[in-house]
Amino acid sequence: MTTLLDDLCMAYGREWLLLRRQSSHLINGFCFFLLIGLVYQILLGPNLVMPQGVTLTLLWVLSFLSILLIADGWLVSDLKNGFYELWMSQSRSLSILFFAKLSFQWIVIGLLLSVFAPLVGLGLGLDTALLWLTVASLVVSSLAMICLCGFGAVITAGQSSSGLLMAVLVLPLNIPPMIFGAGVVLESLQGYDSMPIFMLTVALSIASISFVPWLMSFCTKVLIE
Amino acid sequence: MLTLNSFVVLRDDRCLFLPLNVNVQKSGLYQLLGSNGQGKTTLLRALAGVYTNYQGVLDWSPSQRPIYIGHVAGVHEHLTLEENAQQLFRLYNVSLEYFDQIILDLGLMGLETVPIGRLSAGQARKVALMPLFHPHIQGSWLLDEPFTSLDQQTCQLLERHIKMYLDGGGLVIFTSHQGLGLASLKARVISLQLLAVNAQDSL
Repeated sequence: MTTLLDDLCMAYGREWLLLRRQSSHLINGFCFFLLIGLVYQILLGPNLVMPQGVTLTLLWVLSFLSILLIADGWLVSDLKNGFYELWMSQSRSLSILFFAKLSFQWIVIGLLLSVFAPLVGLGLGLDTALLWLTVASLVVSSLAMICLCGFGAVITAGQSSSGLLMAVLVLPLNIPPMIFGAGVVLESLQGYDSMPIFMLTVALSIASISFVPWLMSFCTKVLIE
Repeated sequence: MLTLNSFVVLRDDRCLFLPLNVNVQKSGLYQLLGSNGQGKTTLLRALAGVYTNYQGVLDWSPSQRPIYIGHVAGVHEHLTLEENAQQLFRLYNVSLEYFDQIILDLGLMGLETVPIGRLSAGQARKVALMPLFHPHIQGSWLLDEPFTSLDQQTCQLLERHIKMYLDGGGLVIFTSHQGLGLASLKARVISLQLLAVNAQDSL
């Protein structure tokens, strides 16, 4: 019998290999993030300052759309090539496999967001005093967004031209993490204590990483059968 | 080793074949026969624990996880031959110790760093079959069209390897629309039929 730890190690190893060999979705997502940020700065010009609230919400919308682009290709290959069937045939846990996938993606996307979001934010005129709080909140809320996009990826994986369907299904699900995530900085901007809403964002992300892998596992079994 | 009692697999609430009663008590080679769409692949997937929409009794004794190699066999087109082999060996809990010998036997030497997407269908199939050639692999073999895309030389190699595995007390259940070339390799037949079910040769 294999242990859960063994499953987890193998799943992380596979994610690392896939990141090295199939990073085009990740690059596309972050090119989109940077390009849209850059285009906004150019269109605004040097004389117009965007309100802080608009800058913040724009950062969250950009992050969501980037994650949506990246998540589109997460499951299709392994579903088509039968890897999930092999994994199940050896009594290994699909939930652990998806937990590893989502948490690994969070580490990678969170790291990239913490580098690129300040660049785009500062370019759009974000107050430097809000920078660290923005990055922290964005990274924390991105875990929930990644999990919910992963759920969208699995329920649309069997469909042809799944991109639009995924966007339509996943956007409403992602509104709470976007509201809470941006809300942390907006509360601080208005002089309120942002800790309660930050803790709500943390709780939402923990709940997502706890339940979504199980949901993805269930949906994958249905797809395979 | 394997007991099936009143066993049927369902698809869209429809039985794919009449209830199957099979009691495999000894090692050997068993071939699932049936026309297209009769449920051979689905039966293999059910035996592998991948497909659960069935009725009746399915019992592996002693409890084991068989090695299932399906039509699509878990090799990722963007990963290299060596990376895919690592993944497969690790999935079946066997070491990479015999990797070099196996790729030499299968004629894949020199392709270790080539992504599977750039290999031919036959070469990709060989990669999927690599775990079977590991001497420490455990469990019965469930093979879905194992000879598809393989050249004659590799078909013969696989048949010889199946023979060696059977001599060691193994159980192989496979589907194939082509006959076996090796004279000493005789398969017992499990025939799937809509109107009648035959389990021949003292199953």
